[in-house]
Amino acid sequence: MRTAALSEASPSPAERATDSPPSAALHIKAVRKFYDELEAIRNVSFDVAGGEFLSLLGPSGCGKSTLLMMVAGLIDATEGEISINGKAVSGPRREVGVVFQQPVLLPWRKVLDNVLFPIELLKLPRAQYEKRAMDLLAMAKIDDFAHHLPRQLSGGMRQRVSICRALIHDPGILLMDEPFSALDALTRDEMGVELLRIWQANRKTVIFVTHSIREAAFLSDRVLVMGRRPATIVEEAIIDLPRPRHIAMMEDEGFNRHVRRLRKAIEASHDS
Amino acid sequence: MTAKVRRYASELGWPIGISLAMLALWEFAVRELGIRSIILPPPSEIAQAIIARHDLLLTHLWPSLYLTVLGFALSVVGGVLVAILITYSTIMRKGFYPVIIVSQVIPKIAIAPLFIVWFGTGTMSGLLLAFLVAFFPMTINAAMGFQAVDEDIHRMARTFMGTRWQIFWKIRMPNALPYIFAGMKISITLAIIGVIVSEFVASQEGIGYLIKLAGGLLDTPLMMAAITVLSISGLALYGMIAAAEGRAVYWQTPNDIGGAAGG
Repeated sequence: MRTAALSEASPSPAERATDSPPSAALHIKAVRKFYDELEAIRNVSFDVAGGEFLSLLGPSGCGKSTLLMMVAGLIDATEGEISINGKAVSGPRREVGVVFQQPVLLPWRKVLDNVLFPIELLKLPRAQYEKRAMDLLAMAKIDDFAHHLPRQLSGGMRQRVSICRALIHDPGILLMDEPFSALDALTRDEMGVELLRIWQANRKTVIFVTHSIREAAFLSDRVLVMGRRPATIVEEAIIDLPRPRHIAMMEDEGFNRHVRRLRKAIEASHDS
Repeated sequence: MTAKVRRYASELGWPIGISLAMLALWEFAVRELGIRSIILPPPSEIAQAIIARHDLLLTHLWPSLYLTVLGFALSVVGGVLVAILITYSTIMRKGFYPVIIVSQVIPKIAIAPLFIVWFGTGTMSGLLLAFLVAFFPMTINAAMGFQAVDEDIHRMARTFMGTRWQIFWKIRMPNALPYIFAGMKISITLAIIGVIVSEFVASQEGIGYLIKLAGGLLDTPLMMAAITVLSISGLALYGMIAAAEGRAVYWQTPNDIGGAAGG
């Protein structure tokens, strides 16, 4: 049973919690990564402003996921520095939420309990976050399934649950590692629109890794194009399309101009 | 609910029908061909023997069941504990685990006479043999379950700063449950075999002893009655584990269950 006092204490997605910042700034400077002799990432530097939606675009296996996992604190950089809100990343941090390519839900937990899983791991008071979890599920339009098991959900619905889970502890920065690449094309476009809606309401900093040019152009404020191994940033594109964005914009000449420019940058990096 | 009941009924209907038909054929064949009941008693005579001599059968059934359940329980506790050690200790995993897997090849039943030499003809030998044969599949299945955690799930838990302890209780343990139950279903049947064999070798009580005794007396109906009672008990024990599995592993559909390795 939820009381009024509890729901007041619970930080809702719309009104931000006071103790954690609404979004976090990321600073990456001269990062290199070697796996033994193999150079995976060469000298990558960029900054992400609080609340910005940034995509890392590149071919499969170019090291963009490795970079994301370094920001998540799961992989150490060989050289260089990564900091979130001025604090160096040396391991997993509370202000980070991660969405993986697969939903990675725990099959024995109901949807609501999956969303609250980070709260248990972080030893935060579960009762206070139950309302927030339901609000997030409602925002992702899957609150009707809060008490279902993951196997009763479709692939797109499961990935929505995993986005809710990544946001439950109100992280300042959301890292997304090709989150929609396992979904069919129609669901994928729809999920992009849903993600932007959720992002608009929360204004987290988002770093979105993808190999889809159209997806990167549609979602982002800015796209960084990464070349093949060893990965470097070969192009930076500001996507100045108005927000909120709609599927129909994918037909516009303005959108297609960005797509063409990004494709050219990727092709140029292949030739070199 | 009614649909569920109907599905179970139709699933059970076939094997039950076939079994009854085979019993009827057996009864008919024995009578028509005039086979003597010392060679093969008809089902009706076995049923009569069970009713008439239920005191004798129960007297010998209880000690066997007791040893089976005790040996099985010890194998579950021991197997899960050793599996946890295998999961977290490199020495155990690299040194001990391969030895356990290879020792699967040894027919442990063959050790029964040796156990009699070591532990005497009493209950200790039966208990230890039941434990020994049930322990290995239990350990291997549980160890598989603890280690078969998806690497992505592990990474996910680490990004939310999950500790080793949390990852064990909240991820590895539930992940291992289906494997543990699969191991338990193998172990319970093996534990029964362990007890019966030790009773065959040397014992003054138990259903294995009764089967051997009835064989020596050429009392085939009693022997068949003892085998029947033993089979029904084994089925009941297995059924209890399967029922517990259905409740504990609620997130898997019945088709998924039993996917783990055999012993």
